[in-house]
Amino acid sequence: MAYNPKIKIDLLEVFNEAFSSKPYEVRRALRSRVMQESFKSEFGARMIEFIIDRTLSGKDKDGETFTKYSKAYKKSLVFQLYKGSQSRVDLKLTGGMLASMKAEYTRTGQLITILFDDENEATKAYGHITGMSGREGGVVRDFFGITNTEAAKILKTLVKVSDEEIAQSAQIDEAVDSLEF
Amino acid sequence: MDGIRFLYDRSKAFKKTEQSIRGFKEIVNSVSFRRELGTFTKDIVYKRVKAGFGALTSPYRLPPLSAAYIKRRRVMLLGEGATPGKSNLTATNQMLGSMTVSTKGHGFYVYIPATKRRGSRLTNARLAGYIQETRPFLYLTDSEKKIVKSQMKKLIKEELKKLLK
Repeated sequence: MAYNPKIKIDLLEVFNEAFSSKPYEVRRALRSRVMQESFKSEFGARMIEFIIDRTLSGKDKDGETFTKYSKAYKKSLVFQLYKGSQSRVDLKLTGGMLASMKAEYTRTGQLITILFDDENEATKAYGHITGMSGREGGVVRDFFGITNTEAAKILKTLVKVSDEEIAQSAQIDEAVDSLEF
Repeated sequence: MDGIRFLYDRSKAFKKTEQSIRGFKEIVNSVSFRRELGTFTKDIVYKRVKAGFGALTSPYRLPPLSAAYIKRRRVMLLGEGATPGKSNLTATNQMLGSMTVSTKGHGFYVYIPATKRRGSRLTNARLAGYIQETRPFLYLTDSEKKIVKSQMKKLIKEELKKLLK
């Protein structure tokens, strides 16, 4: 069975971390807002964006710089075609693995799960996370993670965004996802 | 004619979005937006094939060249990205190099045009058609479709931000 790495984020745990100092009334109002489906969708998308941006900057989930690519891999035709002379490790060759991350949630639940929407890309990610990738042989580059503190920071920013803007973003995602080639 | 068509004017969800988000229709129907997305898509196919992979639902390594053909290629004047033994649909680079993006109609279209090939009666389009039968390459894999859609979302949101400032 294929292994699909997952990150599970408890929205209410993150909420408590972000807003524990706020008065009860404020928390009650905010809580009902963050539990809305469109809000969960945007929160999931922003956590994925955070993981992608951090990965592209060359850092793993602990903020450490990724282990360098091997000389043989850098000399390969595939690497030359996609990366040229670039030396920074950002786990982006074709971009498929990072683009295949998606967030799942239920309408009323508080759990948001980030996973991979493609079996091949999930396997690739598993290789990076565990170091069991055939190509690089045993090198761990664990990019896949987000702490509650990092998620709380995203949540604090997101509550300042208007409902209209959040709905708009969700609508764009839905419209583009529905398109067929 | 073979090619990658990405036509988005028939989707119900898309029409709904066009009506509810100011500026959305203007962005997605602009030639510059469609050209940028089309060029992005063309680049995905070009690099994948040059790396030696074809595509249907997922990438697959293109079948190896025959020993006789490799021998012939050793004395041929090969194009960019070609080596005698590498199976990447490149000998002179005329076919892949001619890959074109069209923005006629809605969406975009990535295809190999019916342009002449040096020293041959075949056009690039006809050659691509033959190759597609045994070594399908002018398609996007499911993962590549996600990359294009992800780029599309990013571009739309960036443009909307600029437009609504």
